[in-house]
Amino acid sequence: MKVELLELEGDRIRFLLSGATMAFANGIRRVCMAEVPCLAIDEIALYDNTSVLFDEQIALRIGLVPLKAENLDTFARPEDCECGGQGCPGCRVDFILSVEGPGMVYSRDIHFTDPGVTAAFDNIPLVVLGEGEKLVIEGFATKRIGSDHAKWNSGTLCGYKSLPSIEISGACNGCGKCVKECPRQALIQDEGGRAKATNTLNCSLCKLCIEVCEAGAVKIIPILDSFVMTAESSGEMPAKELVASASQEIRKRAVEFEAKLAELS
Amino acid sequence: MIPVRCFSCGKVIANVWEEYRERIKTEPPGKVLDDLGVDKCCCRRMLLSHVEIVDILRRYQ
Repeated sequence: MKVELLELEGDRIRFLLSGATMAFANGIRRVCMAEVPCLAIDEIALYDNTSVLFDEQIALRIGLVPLKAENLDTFARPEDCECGGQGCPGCRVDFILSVEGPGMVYSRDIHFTDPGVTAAFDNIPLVVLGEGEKLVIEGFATKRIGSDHAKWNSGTLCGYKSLPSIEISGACNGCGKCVKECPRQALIQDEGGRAKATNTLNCSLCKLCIEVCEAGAVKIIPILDSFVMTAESSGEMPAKELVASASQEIRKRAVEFEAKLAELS
Repeated sequence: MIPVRCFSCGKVIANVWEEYRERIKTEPPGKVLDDLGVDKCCCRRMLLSHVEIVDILRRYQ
């Protein structure tokens, strides 16, 4: 298996995975989206809310704020924690949010007891407060995975496509129609006017070029063991870390599965 | 209030809302969205189609 980095930009990564099966590529995609654990605010207690939004709406908005943790590995999932899910500093981070109007309440106003935990974006507007309005909330964040609730989704857009191979046969008459038709600019005309594949990675396998080619010279074949994978994190962690923790998660599960099988035999 | 995340993909979009709202007064919205890194159509419609009514409703509080 070979991995080649194509693009890495903060919370977005694009890489070429070759020598793997489609099942494996899909495994990484699924784990990136729904199985990488992260922190999110789980339960809150509202002591005072005289704002325009209902308590439930505020709870939803606070829950969706992504949280960055420097020491994410030190937290345990509540059901795996030593406390047995009762709640302890090992599986919870308490926070307090206390703001008095007038003004906008931002995600940066959420103060956690653990200095290593902060909101990933500090300018998410939560609610607007008028003169004399108050919002006092106390609660805690837990570490869980995206399949429990969408607020724990570490990856937002994760996907893959087979790497295409574009072949132009000798029948090409140099009409240039395929070059014009391609929405991804994957084809150009060479000096002789013949079509030539240029950046195959951009090709989305839409096959518009095949349809438009009267000579039938264009052939697009997906290479079945190479994948262009894209992953985007929702801000809790850099994309690089997201893919790394996704593969670790797969490994952890494989080891667990192996142990279960050993028990059976 | 602007939704915190995009309904379809889950990307956080509320963090660019205030800058977007200020900048569209003088610039075309499409260009502002490109600048802010909101490049998927699902996230773009969240900002483009949002109508802020919280300030109107607040008067009847």
